[in-house]
Amino acid sequence: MEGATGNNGGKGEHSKQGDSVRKLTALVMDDPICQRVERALLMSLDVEAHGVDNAHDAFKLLSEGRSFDLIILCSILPGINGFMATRMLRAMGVQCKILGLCGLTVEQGRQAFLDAGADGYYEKPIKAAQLIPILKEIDPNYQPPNSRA
Amino acid sequence: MAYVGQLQRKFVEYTKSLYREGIVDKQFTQLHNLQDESNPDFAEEVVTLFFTDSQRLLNELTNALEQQDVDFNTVDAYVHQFKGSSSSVGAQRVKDLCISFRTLCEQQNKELCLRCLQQVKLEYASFKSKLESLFQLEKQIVEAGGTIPTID
Repeated sequence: MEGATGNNGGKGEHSKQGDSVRKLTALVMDDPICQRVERALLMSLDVEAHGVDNAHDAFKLLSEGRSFDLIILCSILPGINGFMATRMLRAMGVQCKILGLCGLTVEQGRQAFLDAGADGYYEKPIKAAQLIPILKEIDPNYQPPNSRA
Repeated sequence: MAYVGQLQRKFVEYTKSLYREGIVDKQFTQLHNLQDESNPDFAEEVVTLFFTDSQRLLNELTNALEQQDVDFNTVDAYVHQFKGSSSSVGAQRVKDLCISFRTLCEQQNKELCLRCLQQVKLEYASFKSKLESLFQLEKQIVEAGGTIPTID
């Protein structure tokens, strides 16, 4: 589907020296409280973060041509759960990094997310130290704000 | 200014006691670290949102456990959600109780789940009351012309 993929694997267009760098973008799919915390964390890491509280709204955004470098989603969502949503995102052609989040770590949950096509699985609250390596995988030029000169 | 100093000392002591008693954990510190000029009240806003959502979750849990035939998958999903949100705001004791609650859901023990729910409600009420007092102290400091001390 046009526009539903991540930006060519998330690498995007990056700066030649002196140009401004494109910010990484993320979509967070979670309940309103966790979403606010996760989005604030991403924004503190200089990632432009958007949020929805259900999979349907996420699919709508993607089908309208929005794309993201990273999608983070909770296992529990109203309607379509996180595992099913991950499968559907991959089936739609979404190629960017997808991280699953859960309230409580369960091995079955981890496996379900990975089998559905997620790249990682974390227990809430996700931490900066867990996100930074992922952001660097997405963009080798990425530097967290505190480490910049 | 002596009054501001007094309020600030009270704030520092009260905040330290919340950490000492395990009411809040490092994630609560993180909420404050995420505050900036564009989001100066982020911690209070998120915790206030948590209060509203927690009430809903506790009502749903009560309703689900009062059914004749309890659907433990439904109960489990609510507990899972509550654990997620309580851990995201740093409500340590509430979060820890949710972990125990989850085990009881897996055992499908209605009686023990009901007792655990009661404990969760009490612990949540304590968290809410203490955080409201903390936010009230913050307001008093600002209204008196002071700044909120940062806690190491």
